[in-house]
Amino acid sequence: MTATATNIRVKPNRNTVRATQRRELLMLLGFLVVIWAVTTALSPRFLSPANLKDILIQAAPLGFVVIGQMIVIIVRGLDLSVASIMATVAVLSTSLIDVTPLIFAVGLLLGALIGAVNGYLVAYRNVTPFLATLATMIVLQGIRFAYTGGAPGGSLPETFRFLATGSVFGIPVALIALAVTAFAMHWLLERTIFGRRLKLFGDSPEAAFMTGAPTKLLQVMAYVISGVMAALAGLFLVGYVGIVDNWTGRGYELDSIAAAVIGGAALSGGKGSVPGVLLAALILVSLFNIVVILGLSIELQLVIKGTLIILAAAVYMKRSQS
Amino acid sequence: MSTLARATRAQPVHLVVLALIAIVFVVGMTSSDRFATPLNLGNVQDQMVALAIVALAQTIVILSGGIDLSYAGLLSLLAVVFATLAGDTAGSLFLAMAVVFALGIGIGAINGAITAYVGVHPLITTLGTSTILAGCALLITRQPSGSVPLFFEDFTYGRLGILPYGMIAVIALYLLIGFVLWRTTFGTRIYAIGDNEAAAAISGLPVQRTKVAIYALSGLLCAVAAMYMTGRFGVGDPRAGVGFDLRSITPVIVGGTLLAGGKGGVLGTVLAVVLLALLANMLNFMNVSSFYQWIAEGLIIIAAVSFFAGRKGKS
Amino acid sequence: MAPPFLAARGLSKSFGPNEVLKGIQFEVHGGRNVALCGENGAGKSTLIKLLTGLYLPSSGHVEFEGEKADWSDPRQSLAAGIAVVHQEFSVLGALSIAENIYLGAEPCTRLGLIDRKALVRNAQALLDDLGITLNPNDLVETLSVADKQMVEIAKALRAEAKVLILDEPTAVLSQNETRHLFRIINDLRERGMGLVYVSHRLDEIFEICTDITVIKDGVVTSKGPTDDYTDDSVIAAMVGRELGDLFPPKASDPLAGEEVLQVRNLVVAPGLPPASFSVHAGEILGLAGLVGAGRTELALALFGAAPAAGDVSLDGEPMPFRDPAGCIDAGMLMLTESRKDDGLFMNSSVARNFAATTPGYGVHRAAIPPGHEESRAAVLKERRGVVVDHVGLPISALSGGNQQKVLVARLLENRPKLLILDEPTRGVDVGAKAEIYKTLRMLADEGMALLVISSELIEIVRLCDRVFVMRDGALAKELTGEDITEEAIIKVAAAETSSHHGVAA
Repeated sequence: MTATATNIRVKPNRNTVRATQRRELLMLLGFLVVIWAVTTALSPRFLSPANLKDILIQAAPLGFVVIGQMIVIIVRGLDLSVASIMATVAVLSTSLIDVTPLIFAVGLLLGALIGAVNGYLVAYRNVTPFLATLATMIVLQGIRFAYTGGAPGGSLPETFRFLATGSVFGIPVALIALAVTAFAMHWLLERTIFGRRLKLFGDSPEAAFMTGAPTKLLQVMAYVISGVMAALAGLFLVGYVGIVDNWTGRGYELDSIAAAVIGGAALSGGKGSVPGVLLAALILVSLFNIVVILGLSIELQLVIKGTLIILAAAVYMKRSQS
Repeated sequence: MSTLARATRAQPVHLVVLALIAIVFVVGMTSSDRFATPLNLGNVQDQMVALAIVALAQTIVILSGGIDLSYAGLLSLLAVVFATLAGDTAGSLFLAMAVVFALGIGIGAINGAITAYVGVHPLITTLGTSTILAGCALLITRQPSGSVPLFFEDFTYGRLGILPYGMIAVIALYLLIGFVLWRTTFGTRIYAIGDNEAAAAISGLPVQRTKVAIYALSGLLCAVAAMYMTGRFGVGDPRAGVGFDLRSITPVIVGGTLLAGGKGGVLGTVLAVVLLALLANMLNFMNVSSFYQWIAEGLIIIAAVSFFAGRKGKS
Repeated sequence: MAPPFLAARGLSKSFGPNEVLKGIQFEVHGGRNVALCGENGAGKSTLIKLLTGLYLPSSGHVEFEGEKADWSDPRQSLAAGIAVVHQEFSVLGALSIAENIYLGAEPCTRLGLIDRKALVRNAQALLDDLGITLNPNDLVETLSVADKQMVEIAKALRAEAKVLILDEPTAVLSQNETRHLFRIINDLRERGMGLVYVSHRLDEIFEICTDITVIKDGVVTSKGPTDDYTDDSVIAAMVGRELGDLFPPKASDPLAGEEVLQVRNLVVAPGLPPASFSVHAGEILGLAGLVGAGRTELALALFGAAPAAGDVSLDGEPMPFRDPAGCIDAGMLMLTESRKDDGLFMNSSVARNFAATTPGYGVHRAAIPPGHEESRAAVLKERRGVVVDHVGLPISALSGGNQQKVLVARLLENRPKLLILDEPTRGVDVGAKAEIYKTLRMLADEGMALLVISSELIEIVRLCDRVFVMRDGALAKELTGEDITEEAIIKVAAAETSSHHGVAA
């Protein structure tokens, strides 16, 4: 063994960027375990397989959306149009065709298209992400209502319903889809040059530009991904509910931002992980379930959720300062 | 630059907004005889009072480089509390007013403190408080309930000539805040912090304290809007504020105030509120469904922002 | 003798493990102008922040008029009478000149409202007193850099200040404007004010300062009246060793190599004269000039980071459409001026910073194997002598010199044909400087073409084989061989410009 080789061996250090992220992830996991444990102690019904399955299925649409939202937040953006995309895609694609694969194809294409518009406004027209996606959100709302005349109709094909509510080997299809998507996005973010550049851009857009990153394209792609994720979420949500509604996904824009922030994404950009935001989405959905199971007033979950958002943001802020 | 233009923060874009108001007005008159009647114009004014007050609050916050998304929850909670306490006598009304003012200021100050002292992004802070407050409002009552004294309800419907009392209040508030921005050190600080927070701190301004005051003022104005809305409804609606968080931003941006802070003023906001209200009214007369009005609103935001984006230069 | 207006008594300051200042002793008396000298990174700015209460000392204390001062906020020192003209501007574009000058101290009526008339009147009087011809109603965003500096000074002097601290005040001023500033400074000193003048321009220090305090690596190495010093003795105290040792010998025949970069009629901004020049393999070409002379703009235009018209070719290959990505692929790389702003990814790990430029991931285009980044970084760290415990640590934990080494390593991994370096030794200690000079010369000897921008004249003179002096966006003069001297550069760079400012000539 030469001295150089010994030096090159990487010794563990608890202050590395990765170790810090791992601790944040453990913190989230710990929190989830605690609230589950407390709820189970109060009401054993909570931990029943049926209930857990319910929670997971309900968490699936938010899971899709929050992954997209996080990627946009990583590039210092924000996507307020996700809920509007969910509903618009669900309304338009289910009314245009009734063949399940085509519904998905058209829906995802539509989501990508809307995302591209958002990205264009932000990257090429210098519009603040907040305002660009706010405008898209309102325009889509108008288009959707005008198209349906306020009352969407149409029935969903059986296979479509199956995708959202059915199971393969006891595992809900929606969860399998989310798992596959999550792994793919995690791989994209952590193991490809594209993913690293998204994070580097968020860390410093100027430095990313000077080191040869295609900065405008990166931003557009982030919004496209968010659009596609929202489209997926919209389709699975209407499939689960069974009814196409003009307000499908209402509230998901704020819930997805909340979950992204609780999951460790920072609005200042460059930070966020798929496992983190999925855990956060699970925490938020669990809260709703817990309030119901414990027979508490349903509105209490709003109070808890809001407190959680602020607390999480404050904790991450304090950690980054120290 | 003349002092008047500086004091009102008049910009060339305000002429564009004024021209648009004129166009909408002319189109409205030609499309219906009933458009330019005192009755209809009174309705238009009634419809814009609440939004005008909330947009005024948002203008102040955005000028300082922040944003306040707590209005949805805050307005709902204040409306419910007001209607619960207002009873039917002047005494109970004044008690309710005092409580609502205190709540608005207090909650605003909490928003400001979390943003300024803990360093949480205002978007996250106010999103969090909005969620909490919306929950609180629904915990108090799930259905619209409570009441306000009849004389207060009458008051919110009252008019002086063609001017509703609500509109007079709006004009007074805009003049007052415009005056504060121009003639008080607090006003100068708002612009300084919004323009460049670090430079403002080096210059010895109490940045954190000022931020708390800004959000507290925002909460105070919301209290006024909540009381007006409750007076109009006659009951306290636990969903009264839904949508006001995002709706309050449109007029601010269309009026030429930069989301980044430091530039703009209340004149642009009030013009934009008038434009948007007249536009909605005109489209109603033309039998255009509200669905297309949404499309129009979104496109107006993009047009307005693209117009200003050029000023920021390249990223 | 009266106690000094302002003094540092054994001041020390540490940031984490880095001890930036060690037991500083420093005094300013009324009617004196003390020069605070030191290299970039010596600790001058930190000392000023401690003196004004922006930072709290790790040990020692600040003394004001003989009393211990416990300032924890710049507002307190301001109230006591310490005025500072910061290096970074603190003026606000959205406010008028008058509003800026009296920001936080607006004249008020009895009702507590801002007295707008008095505000403008007082600002006008202050500007007149300083001989600055600006309209107090104008918005600051419409002013030139020099005029902003004047507003900055007026703002510092709005109240009865006892001590005025000026941090590199002439960095952005023309010669004429500098002369005007000196008149103001001397006038203030004669009125009995105590001044602290931070600069590394020796000629200025000898012209207007009465005392000199030299800081090196966070320690006061020398202090006394200006008359006791010469240029050489100040430099010796600043640098701590003979300057000659820092620089390797120059190339024997710098123009012998092939032309690597050819620039024909490059117009950086409309209205500026076209620039034509070339850089040869094996030479270090210097771009000298004052701040704002257009050196960085020219470099950014070459690198495709800013729009420009004209012909640029690298190794004979024309590059009609340039952007940073294309330039990196073609073999033209650039080290930017401001490490923290557009060089480093401050929240990312050292390893990721090593790898950030395009081909850094080597053959692993699709999927980067786990651990690849870190094991590669560990090798690079050894090769470039970067001092860090673990390559996974955020790069913000490194010292300036080590951060710069990471950046240089990142550039060299791409084997550039042409390397553009904008202020390569800014904020780097002397030891690291010598290493960077050695590396640059070694790269030139190996056949690389280097284009170096520097504001430190000694660096240009002793490092570069050939020098272009820039003024007002134009390549004003070419200097070669023995002609490259500080005097020759200054004579061209600081010649009076035609631009008109609010300062009376």
